[in-house]
Amino acid sequence: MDIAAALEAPIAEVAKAIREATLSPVDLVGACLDRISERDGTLHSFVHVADNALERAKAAEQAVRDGRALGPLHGIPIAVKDNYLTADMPTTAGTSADITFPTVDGAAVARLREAGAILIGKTRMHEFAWGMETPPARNPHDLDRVPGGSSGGSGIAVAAGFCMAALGSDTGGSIRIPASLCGTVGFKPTFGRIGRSGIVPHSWSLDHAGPLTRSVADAALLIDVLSGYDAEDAGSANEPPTTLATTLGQTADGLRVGVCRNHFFESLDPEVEAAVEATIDRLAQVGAGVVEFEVPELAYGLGAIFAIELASSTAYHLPHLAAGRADDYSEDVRLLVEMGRLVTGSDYLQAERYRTLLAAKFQSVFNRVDVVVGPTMPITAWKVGQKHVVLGGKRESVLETSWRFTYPWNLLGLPAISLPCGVDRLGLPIGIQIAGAAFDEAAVIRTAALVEKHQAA
Amino acid sequence: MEDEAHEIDPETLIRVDRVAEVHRAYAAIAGQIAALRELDLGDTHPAVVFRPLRRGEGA
Repeated sequence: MDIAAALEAPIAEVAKAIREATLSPVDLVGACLDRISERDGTLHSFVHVADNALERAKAAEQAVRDGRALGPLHGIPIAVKDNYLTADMPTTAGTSADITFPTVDGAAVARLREAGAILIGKTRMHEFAWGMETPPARNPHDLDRVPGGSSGGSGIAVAAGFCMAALGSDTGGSIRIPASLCGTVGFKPTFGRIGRSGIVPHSWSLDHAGPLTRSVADAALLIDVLSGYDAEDAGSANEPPTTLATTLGQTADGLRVGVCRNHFFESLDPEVEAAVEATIDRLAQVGAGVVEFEVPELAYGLGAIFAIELASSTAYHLPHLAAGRADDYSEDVRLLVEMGRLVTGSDYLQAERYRTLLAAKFQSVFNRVDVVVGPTMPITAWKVGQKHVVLGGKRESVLETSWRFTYPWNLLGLPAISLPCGVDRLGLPIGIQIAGAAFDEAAVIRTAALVEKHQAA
Repeated sequence: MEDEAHEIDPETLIRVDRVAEVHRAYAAIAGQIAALRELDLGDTHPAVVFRPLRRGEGA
């Protein structure tokens, strides 16, 4: 396998070529480092490039020669969001404040290493995962536009071919938003599916770990590697690792696709709406049944996620706030951390009670459907510095707009993937979001693979 | 003057010179939370539930 082919091929095929010694991991990692060197001065997706990546690639090549047991990601270059602690690279969580993070591997990073991955660097993130823009990073499809956030660096790194996959984290959409804006796949599995020990917390009951990848098959493989019980994570589910890679290639026969017509289709760009509707039509054409429904209680979701995310994040940052270290945060993040002090305890608990109600409503929905599909975001990538957007005659802040369709799945803790389903007239990627019932990532991957396979010509 | 600027409001832990600005910025969010407050949730229990640890668990 030559390098050009490897950089486009599914990870499983690339890993097979490495195992069979028809592809050198040294050449593969070297090609990624060359690309980073050529383009990342403009895109700013990495905050740290591993200085031992080539050395590790050489060790991986030697392991192949020695016939040692090799994992499913042996020799595969993977980037890590800068809020995952790592033993051999510094962690900053995107802040320049004087805060020192431990140099240890958490559960997800350890699983990557055990699978043979080569960690190529740490990707830029919106400070403390509290934002959707990831400055000063730029969108690889248009340098005047944002990549999204908070896992913006991971979205860029995957889209620009700087690595074969990247880790992200998602509290209100931070994996799926950059995936949608950068034109990659981004998968937030069920809450608790991937251990979060060693990830700098943002909001304990909303935070999810997951990958950004070039394809649905790669996302399935990464979840298979990353999933499993993590005794160090209080939210970890005591479930065995997934076997999603074996579920690819199924037909749409019998698949029940839900479409929630309120909330998820309100106030969105007509080009985004058209691309998503056309994708739903194609799913129906290949045999899926489409079930439309509404959940009026979604109207209360924004207040709930704000109450929980603000209160939780500020609880984490309280020592820094009290010590004055928040003075060194970026102005937008500092303001959010300070605002968290204004959420009352009773409002926080009202939000947590609302989650119970919403979970029951969607449990009922998932008795009738296998997945729920809709747009990942109401808009495509916005310009750097743009603060507002007009949708359906209503002026709205881009930040409020950006997570409107993603945050319900964080409140619910349900698996949700974003993958490309078209481009707008400017050539900017449009993402479709597919969510599933708790621990039914298989239905999400099945549907996503069908969408990917039956893309518009 | 500088000391005054760095004075912390003891109730909110927000710097005194920023309290008004933070309240202004919070107004739109407060409206969303107020709407949620109006929702009658009956006897619905919060989603986050305390669970006692068994002997040796998590040790």
